[in-house]
Amino acid sequence: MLPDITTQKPVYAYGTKSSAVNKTGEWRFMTPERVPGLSPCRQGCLLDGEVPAWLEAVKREQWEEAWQIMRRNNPFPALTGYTCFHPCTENCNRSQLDSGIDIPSVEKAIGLWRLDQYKPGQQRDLLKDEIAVIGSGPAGLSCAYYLNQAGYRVTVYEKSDQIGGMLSLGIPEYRLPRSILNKELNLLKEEGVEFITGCEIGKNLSLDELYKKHSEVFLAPGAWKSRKAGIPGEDSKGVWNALDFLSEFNSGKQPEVKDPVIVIGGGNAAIDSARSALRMSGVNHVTLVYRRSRAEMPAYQPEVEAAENEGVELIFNALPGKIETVDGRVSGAEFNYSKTNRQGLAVDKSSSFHKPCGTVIMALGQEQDGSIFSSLDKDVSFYAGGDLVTGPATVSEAIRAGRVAAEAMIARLENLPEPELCLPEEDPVSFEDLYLEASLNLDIKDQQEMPEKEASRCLGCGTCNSCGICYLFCPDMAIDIVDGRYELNMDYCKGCGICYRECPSRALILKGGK
Amino acid sequence: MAYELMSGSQAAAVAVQRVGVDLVAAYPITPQTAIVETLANFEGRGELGGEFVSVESEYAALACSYGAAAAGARVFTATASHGLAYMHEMIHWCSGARVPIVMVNVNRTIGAPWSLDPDQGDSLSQRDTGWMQIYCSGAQEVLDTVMQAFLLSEELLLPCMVVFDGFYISHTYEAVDVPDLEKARAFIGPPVFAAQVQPEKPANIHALITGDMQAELVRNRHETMLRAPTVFKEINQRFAETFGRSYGVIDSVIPPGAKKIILAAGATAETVRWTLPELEETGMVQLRMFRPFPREDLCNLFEAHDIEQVVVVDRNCSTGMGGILAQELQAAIYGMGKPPAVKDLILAGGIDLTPDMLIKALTETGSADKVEQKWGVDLR
Repeated sequence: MLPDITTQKPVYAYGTKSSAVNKTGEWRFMTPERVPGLSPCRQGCLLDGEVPAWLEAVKREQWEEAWQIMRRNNPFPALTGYTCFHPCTENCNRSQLDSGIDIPSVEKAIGLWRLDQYKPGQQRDLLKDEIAVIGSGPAGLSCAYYLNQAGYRVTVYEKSDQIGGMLSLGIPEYRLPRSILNKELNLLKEEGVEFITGCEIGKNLSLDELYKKHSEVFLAPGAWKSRKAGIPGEDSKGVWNALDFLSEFNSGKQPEVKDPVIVIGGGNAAIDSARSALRMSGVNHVTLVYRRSRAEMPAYQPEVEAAENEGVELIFNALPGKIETVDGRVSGAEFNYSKTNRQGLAVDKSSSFHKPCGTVIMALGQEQDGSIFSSLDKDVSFYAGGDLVTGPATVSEAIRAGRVAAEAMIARLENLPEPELCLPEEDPVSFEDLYLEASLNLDIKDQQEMPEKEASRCLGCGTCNSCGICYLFCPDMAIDIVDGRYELNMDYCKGCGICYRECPSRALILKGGK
Repeated sequence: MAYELMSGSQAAAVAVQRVGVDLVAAYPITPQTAIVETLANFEGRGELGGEFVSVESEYAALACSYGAAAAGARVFTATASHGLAYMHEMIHWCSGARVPIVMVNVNRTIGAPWSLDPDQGDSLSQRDTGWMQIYCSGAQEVLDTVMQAFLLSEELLLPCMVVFDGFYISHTYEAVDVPDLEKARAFIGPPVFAAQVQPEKPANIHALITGDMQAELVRNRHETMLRAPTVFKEINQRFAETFGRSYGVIDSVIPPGAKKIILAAGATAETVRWTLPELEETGMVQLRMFRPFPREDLCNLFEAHDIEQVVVVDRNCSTGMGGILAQELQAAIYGMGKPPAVKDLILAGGIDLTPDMLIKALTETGSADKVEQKWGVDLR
C-alpha cells in the first residue's frame, strides 16, 4: 500500500506482487469437474479405447502422449489401424454435422509414429514370475505385451514356424503389410518377450513341463478347425479350406491353384481368399458363392465392395450340392438355389446350376479345437482368450482379451483388486447433448489428410478436446493453460458453473460442495 | 473581472472550463443538462482544454471518470437524482480508491413517482459513500466552489461533490463575476497527484485485502476527510487574496442578542438570509460543508453566541427519522455543555420555502427542549 505523504499511513491498496495469494477458490460451494462421458466412438470400440483423448493429444501434436493413452487399451495401433473394421466410426456425432472423424487414419498414424520412434532401450531386468502364453496371435501378443511391461518374463509358444497367428497366416498382405507386423514383433522381442516357434503343447512340450516352468498360463491358440460342408467330392485334389489356403499364400508359398477359382462362403476369410486368389499368377476368374443374401453376409461390407471392384464375381442364395471331379481332381461344382423361410435356410432342389472350375476354396467358417482343454488336469488353473473362447472374431477383440487376461493375472499374482472386465454400458453423449453453439472447431468440414488436422475436428463428446471455451468464459481466470491443455485451477475457481454450461463437448460436470 | 448573466448550471460549467480539466465524462439528466450542454459547447469550440466523452449511462460516466483519475487525469462529471443513484456503486469505489474527482449534483427528488422538485434526498442519501459534499446557494457560489473543489479533492485524494438545488439555482440567472481564464488557471495550477495506474510500473491496485488492512484504509480515509475544513479554509484564504471573495464551511449571520438561529443548506439558505431582517433576535447559519460535517465550527458558533434554539430547514426527509440535517446536527451537538434545542422544518418533496412559511414556522415553534418536526406543506 502506498503511504500517505503527510501521515505515512496507507491510502489505498497497492501491490506489485500478484493478487494470486488470495485463494478465492475457498469460497466455492459448487465444483466443476472433468468426468469423461462415454463417446459414441468409445462405445463402438472393441478395445474400449479412449478415442477422443488420443485424438486430443494428436491435435496438440503430442504424439508420445497420444501413444501413452492409446496403449492403455491398445498396444498395437498400427496393427488395428490396418486390420480393424473400426465400428468406432459408425456413430461419430460429427457425421450428423458434416463428415465423421477419420479415426482409423489417426490411429494408424499413432501406430506408425510409435514404430518409427522406438529405440531399443537398455535391457530391462524382468524379475517377476515366468508366464506362458500359448499362441502368438493378437490375443497372445497383447497378453505378452502387458505382462512384459509389468516386468514379467513371458514365453510365447507357437505351433507354426511363423509368429503372428491369424495376423501372419490369416490376414492377407494387402490388408496388413508384413513389414508393419514384423516391426511390432521385433519390438516385443527387443523388450524381452521370448518366442518359441514350431512348438505344439502336448506334442513338443508336455503340459506338466509347461506348468513346472511357468506360474500362470494363457491359452490363446485361436480357432483353426475348418468347418466341412459334408458334400461329395469335398476331399478331392484342388479343394482347399480357406485357412490352409490363406496360410500358404500369406507365408509366401504358392498354393497350388488352377483357374477358374470358386470360393464358397460369405465371411471375411471367404473375401480374403477370393481377393488373394485373384492376385495369384494364372488366376483370371474368381467367383464367390454365398448361401444367403448380400445383406446377410458376415463379411465387412467395404471389403466385399473392394472384392467386387477388383473383379470377383458374386453369387448369392446358392448352396453347393457336390464337387465334381475328373481323375480325382476338381473340375466343377453343382449348386442349388436357396431361400430363407421361417424354418431357416431351405434348399430349392428344383433349381440348380453347374459351374466349371479348377480350384474350390471352402470358407465355411472355423471352430475352436476343444481338445486342448481335455488334455488339462482338472486341478490346474489357466486363463484363456481370443478365438478359442469367442469363436472366430476380430483382431481387436483378441487384443482386448489378451489385455484383460494379463491384468487379471497381474492382479492375482500381486494381490491387487480384480480389474474391471465389463465394457461401459451407459448411454453415450449424443449429438443433441453437445453444445455446438459455443464450439470453436466447426470450420473444417471435410476429412483431412494431416492427422493433426483431422484430430482437431473431433467434437470431444464427453471428453475435453482443448477447444479453450472454458478459458475464454471463466470470469475468475481459474483455467490455466498447461502444455496446450486447459486445466481447472481450483485455487481460484468460485464454482460459478459457466465453464460447465459453455463446454461444447460436455466434458464437465458440476457437483455440490468443494 | 467581468460580470456575466448565467444560470447556476452554466456557472458550474464555466468553472470547469476555467480550471482546465483533462476529461469530462457525463450523461445529461434534468435538471443538470445545461452543465453537460455548456461543456459540450466548450469542447465544440475547442475551449474545454480536455476531452469530452459521451457515455451511455451515469454509471459509465463515473466509471470512466474513475479510470481517467486513476491514470492521473483531472476529471469532472455532473449528474442529478436518478443518475446519481445509478452511480451508487462507483461512488463508493471512487472514494475507496482515493482518486480526486469533482462531481456536481443538482438536487432533484428521486422517484417513484417521477418528480422534478429539488428534494436534497438524492445527494444526502449518498452521505456515507466517502465523498465530501458542499452545498451552494447561488450561481456565484457554484462557480467559486467548483473551482475550489478541485484543489480540495486533489489535496486530500478524496472525491468531492458540489451540490445545488435544481431549477432554483440550476435554471435561474444571476450576474456572475467570471474569473479571467489565465488568472484562474494560475490559481489552480496543474494537477499534482500521482497516477495510480502507470504502465511502466505494473501493479495490482484495489485488489482483495484482509479486514485488518481495510480497517487501516477506512481509518485513513476518515481522518483525512476530517482535515477538509482546515484545508478548505486555507484554499479560501488564497482564493480571497486572488479573487476578493471567500466562503467558510459554514457561513453565519448572527444579529446581537439572537438566541435562535435558522440552519439551512442550498437555495433555502438564500431565502432565510433574505427574510432575516423581518425576524426578531434571530440569526442564520448556512451549512455549506455537509461531509465532513463541520461539528467543531457549529459547536463553537453556538457556544460563542449562547444559542438556545436551532430551526433546521430540511428539504428532505429520511423516512422513519425525519430531516437529515436536523439529525446530523443533533448528533454533532451531543455532549455540548448547553446544547440548543433542535426544531425541524421538513420540506420533503422539494417544496419551496417562502418567507411567509418561514415566519409561520418560527411563530408556531415552541421552545420546549425536545425534537419538533413541522411539515412545510402544513404551513402554506
